Amino acid sequence: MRKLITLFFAVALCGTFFISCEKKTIDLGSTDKPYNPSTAGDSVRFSTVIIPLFATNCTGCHYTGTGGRNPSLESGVAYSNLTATPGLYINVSVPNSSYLYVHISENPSSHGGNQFGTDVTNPILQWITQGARNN
Amino acid sequence: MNKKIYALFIFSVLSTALFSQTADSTASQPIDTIAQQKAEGKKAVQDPWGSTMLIDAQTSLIPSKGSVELVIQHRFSNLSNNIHDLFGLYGASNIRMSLSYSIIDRLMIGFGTEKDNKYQEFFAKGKLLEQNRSGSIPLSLTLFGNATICARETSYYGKDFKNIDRFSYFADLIIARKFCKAFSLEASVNYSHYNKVESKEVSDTVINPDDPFLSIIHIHYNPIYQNDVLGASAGARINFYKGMSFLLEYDQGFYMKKATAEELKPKPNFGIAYEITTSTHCFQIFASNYRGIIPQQNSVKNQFDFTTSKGWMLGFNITVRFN
Repeated sequence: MRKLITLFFAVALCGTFFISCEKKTIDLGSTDKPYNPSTAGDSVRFSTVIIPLFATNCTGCHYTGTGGRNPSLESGVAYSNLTATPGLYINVSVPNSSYLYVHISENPSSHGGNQFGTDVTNPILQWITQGARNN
Repeated sequence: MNKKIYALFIFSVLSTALFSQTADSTASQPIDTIAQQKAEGKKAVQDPWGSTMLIDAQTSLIPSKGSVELVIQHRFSNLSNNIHDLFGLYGASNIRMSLSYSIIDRLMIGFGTEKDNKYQEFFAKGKLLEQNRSGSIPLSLTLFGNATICARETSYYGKDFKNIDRFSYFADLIIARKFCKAFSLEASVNYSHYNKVESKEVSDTVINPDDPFLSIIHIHYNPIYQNDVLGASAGARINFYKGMSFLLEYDQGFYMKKATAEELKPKPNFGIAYEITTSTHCFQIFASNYRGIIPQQNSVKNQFDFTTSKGWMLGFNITVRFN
């Protein structure tokens, strides 16, 4: 009887181990997310709205290379040039005081006479207001 | 004549009784003594330890058949706040209570519940070899094992939760010897296994060289402990006066694989205790570095370092035995 009881508990303990044994790590939510995330409220994205605006209206003068004016607003370098010096071109705290916006929208223009209409300035202001993300 | 016969009769009876008694006792004494001595020698050594617990480790002691044992273990907070929480006495404590029953002299089973991580522990301890008084068996060999369920909330275990994530196991082989009434020594090797261990968030940015705007941040979780740990421990009891003893203990867990950058190697435990024992009670008060109480929690996850004052904490164990 004693041997039976001992055997029972030995088997029960070993059995519990072998039946329910695994080797895992707690995962609270592994995921991949975009390097340049947009929030749900971003209606103006840099890559799809601002870059094309720059290409149409700005890169004629603001390009990389001899004769180009600063900052270059070409596709690959526009964002880094605009954000390299914090506050120089973009002020997310007071978006409508951002030099990027003021320089192309003020009247009389300080932009060599090139004052742009709201079809250009509004998206840029909207983009700065949404945080000027590289999205 | 009748008186002579009568006297002779009485003398004969008495002398017969005397001689027979003498003859009988002379013949029986050696046999009884030898048998008694042999029987005495086969018995297990008495009270090699005061309790089934040393400080944090198990001892080789199993109470006699039919005994019920209640153990209350209390660990105060560590000494990091000094006098501000009275050296841990008023800080957050950890507690375990357990009840065990000796089915036979060599087998004990029990259940315990712990506070910090809500461990529900089912355990058994069996004696494979028992040191006897004659010395023909010089050591005790005892096997202790538990299966523990952590009853924390489901969200603690992250994605893909399954109930077996809660399980952890511990097995301990204890070799012990009582050298004399004043000194007992034990050493053990043990194995701990956790089905699921804690992790920390790690993020890696994977740049897309063709279009940086398509780059991603890969968020994943790396373990901070290993699931399997091998351990060793040693303990001693020095009985200096009647039921009073000093206890010493050292425990260490070892990773079975090389630790990664995120993994926290288990830190060892050093404990020193004062023990008072009676036939039915044992009270131990001590300073040590293990807070977890449950052996696999200590062996795998202890981060209290005995080389710093913040790594120490006071505690006590109370054992009550109902025979």
